[in-house]
Amino acid sequence: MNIVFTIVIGFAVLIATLLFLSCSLCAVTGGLSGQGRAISAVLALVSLGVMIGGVFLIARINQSKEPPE
Amino acid sequence: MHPHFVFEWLAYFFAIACYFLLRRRFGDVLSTPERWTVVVAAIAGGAVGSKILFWLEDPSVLLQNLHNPEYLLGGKTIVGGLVGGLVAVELMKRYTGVRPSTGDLYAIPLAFGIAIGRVGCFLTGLSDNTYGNPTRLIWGVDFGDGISRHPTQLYEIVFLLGLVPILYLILLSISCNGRSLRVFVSGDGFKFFMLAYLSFRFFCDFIKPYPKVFLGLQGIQWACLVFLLYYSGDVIRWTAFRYRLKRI
Repeated sequence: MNIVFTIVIGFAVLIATLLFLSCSLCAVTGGLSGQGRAISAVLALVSLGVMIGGVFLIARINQSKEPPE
Repeated sequence: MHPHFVFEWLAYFFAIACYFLLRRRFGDVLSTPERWTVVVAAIAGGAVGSKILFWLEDPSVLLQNLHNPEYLLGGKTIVGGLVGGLVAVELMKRYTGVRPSTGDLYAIPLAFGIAIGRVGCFLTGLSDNTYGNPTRLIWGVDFGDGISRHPTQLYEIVFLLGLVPILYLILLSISCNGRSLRVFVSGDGFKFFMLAYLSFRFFCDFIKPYPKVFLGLQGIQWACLVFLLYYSGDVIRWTAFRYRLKRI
């Protein structure tokens, strides 16, 4: 079950990361209108949240049973 | 469609495809959930790291633009992505108890991906801020302002494409389990890529017009220097091995 959860969350993080990077394409965001920039900023923040949340969730699911050295 | 957008997405897809080909060719030391855990940490850490180093490139500009989403969203650095991914993976491995070296399969996809992405940077021109200082060399490129500049994006592409066969030979060497006398062990493919790329960027950025933040070095050069020191033990190990081989 952990494998399925890890892969599903992993895909979500992968898509969120690509979205985050797309929203911050240096040359492209410069050409957007005011509303476009606002949407881009909101999308970037949401995808950043999904990314960070997903990473913590995956870390928790696959947490080592042994204490770290 | 904007060339930066096209080539950046091409780079992501080509790098992912290249990773799967190499995984099929050389196998994987990690189980599927372990690999996913590491990949997720790498891409998320890379994305965040690329932003953080971009902001730290010029702290004074960052302070002036704290309320400007266009600036905050509008840039990233490859070196930041690499070191951010590295730090995130090491933290994740420690937390989840993954012990084997995990980066060898990323080295060639990263080299190809960065090279493809740099084509977009080159075609974008001045607004991409990846060009070099003015030059009178015959291969200098005018990006549209009438000034001939070092095409540092092309230098990087040539360097990375030259690095790929070396990385492939290192992966082959690592996968030869039967040989006891090996310079490179598991994990060294990625370390070699990082050392080569960070060294290249450290020297190449001397011919880029970025602001110097401390002791005449730019923010990216400081990041390169710190992580080159982090890998210095591996350079000593490789050099010592070659010295021992000569004495045998």
